[in-house]
Amino acid sequence: MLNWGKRTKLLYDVDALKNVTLNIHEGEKVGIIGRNGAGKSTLLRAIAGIYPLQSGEIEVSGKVRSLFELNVGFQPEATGRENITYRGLLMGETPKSLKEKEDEIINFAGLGDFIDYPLKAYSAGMMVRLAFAISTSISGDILLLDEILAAGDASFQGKARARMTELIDNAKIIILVSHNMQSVKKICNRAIYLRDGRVITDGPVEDVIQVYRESVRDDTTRTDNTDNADPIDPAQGW
Amino acid sequence: MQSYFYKVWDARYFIVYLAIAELKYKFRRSKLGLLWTMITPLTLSLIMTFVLGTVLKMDMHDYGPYIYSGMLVWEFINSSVTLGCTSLLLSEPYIKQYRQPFAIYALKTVLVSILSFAIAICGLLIWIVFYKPANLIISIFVLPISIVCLLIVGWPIAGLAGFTNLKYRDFGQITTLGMQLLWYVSPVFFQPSMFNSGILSIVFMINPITHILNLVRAPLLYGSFPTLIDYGFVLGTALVLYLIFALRIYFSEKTLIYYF
Repeated sequence: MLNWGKRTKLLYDVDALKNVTLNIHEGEKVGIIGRNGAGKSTLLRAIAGIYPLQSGEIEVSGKVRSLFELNVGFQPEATGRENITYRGLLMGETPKSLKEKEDEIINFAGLGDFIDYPLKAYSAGMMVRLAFAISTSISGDILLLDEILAAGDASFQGKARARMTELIDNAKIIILVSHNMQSVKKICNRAIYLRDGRVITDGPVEDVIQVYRESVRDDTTRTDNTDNADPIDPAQGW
Repeated sequence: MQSYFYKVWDARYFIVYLAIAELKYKFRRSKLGLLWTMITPLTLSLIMTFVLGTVLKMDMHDYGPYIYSGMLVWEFINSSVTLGCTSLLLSEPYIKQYRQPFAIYALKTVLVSILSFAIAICGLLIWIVFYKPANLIISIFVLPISIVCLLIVGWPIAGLAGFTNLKYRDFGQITTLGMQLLWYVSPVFFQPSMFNSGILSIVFMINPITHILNLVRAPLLYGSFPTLIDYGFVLGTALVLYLIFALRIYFSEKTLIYYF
């Protein structure tokens, strides 16, 4: 069939971030909060160099380590062990450095003999374990976290939290995107509230969360259609 | 641009490992595995040699290797274009996970093709050991250079195909038709001497694929070095393609992410 209709909208047509100016210094742990579609993940991916800017610039000094969409970028036909190599090399490691980390990654993932099975034989939970183990084995100066604070089943989460704590403590800058206000309060010393691609407020965590909550409450009372309203505080915390 | 190529160099391990993985999984659970990269073109060449050799009354001992060498080089160029078209699309999970120069995915594609070529050319080497052993010495020296030249010219072809197809999805279909046309004006299985028409001789002469084919045929089939004209055409074509590729990278790469 011919496709001569109205031009399909592209991501190119979307202004996900508008007039955003930020300075983040060493020692700062910044939580980015906002509703769905506010531009939080886009900001993170722009810092990671994945999304370009249409105007302006980003200056990043230090080794960036991004943890988002952990399950993406695996070879399903390859074994877990081979995927450790591919993912590690993608992230800039060398075969030699990966060889040194391989045993530690395999032990952390706790997959046993399954490490030498093709990834397509893994359950979703096993994939998450492996992805988490690989992605968190390589530290960085600047840690970008998108809704990734712990992963896997209950037995793995303890190890995952300890690993995340270690990564966060070792990083010079943390930028955390999360809907979980408890996590943001616990980890971050600065927060930024984004709405429709703009910075609404930037400052101490408690103050920013307060502004965000009031904004959500105002929107909720303004309309009965709460399609875009976010839950204010999920019960589960970090 | 210099820092861009340093980043490509930094990603060399990723490119090589991924290329080997792709070749490995292409023939997973196959008993003959990588040997198919030799068996398939060899069998097709034998069929074409018999049919065309009978129709055109050619000496099959010489015409067979001519066709086989042509098919291998053509397969490399064709796969650089057709697989190059999908190189970025298939690499979307990597591209959205971690920032790397997009050109590495085209390079990976070409590396897979060149590895396949290197395995398949062994069939031709076996032939010259038995039928033209005098060509072996020169082939051992010249063939690696020819393979490097193929890699050099294949990368920008795959890269440009990938960049263009990502933005204009009909491009892949157009190239399929274009390659069909190019096949008929390239001496893949036609010998230039078969044509008396001046126009076709000129087309063959200015077609870079003629000279790319000569890089492989000259040492293997004729026991001679490729001519300076052959190297000049191939490297000149590569230079032009690299210039265009560099411009595409400079102006387009940043925004290509929006076209997935």
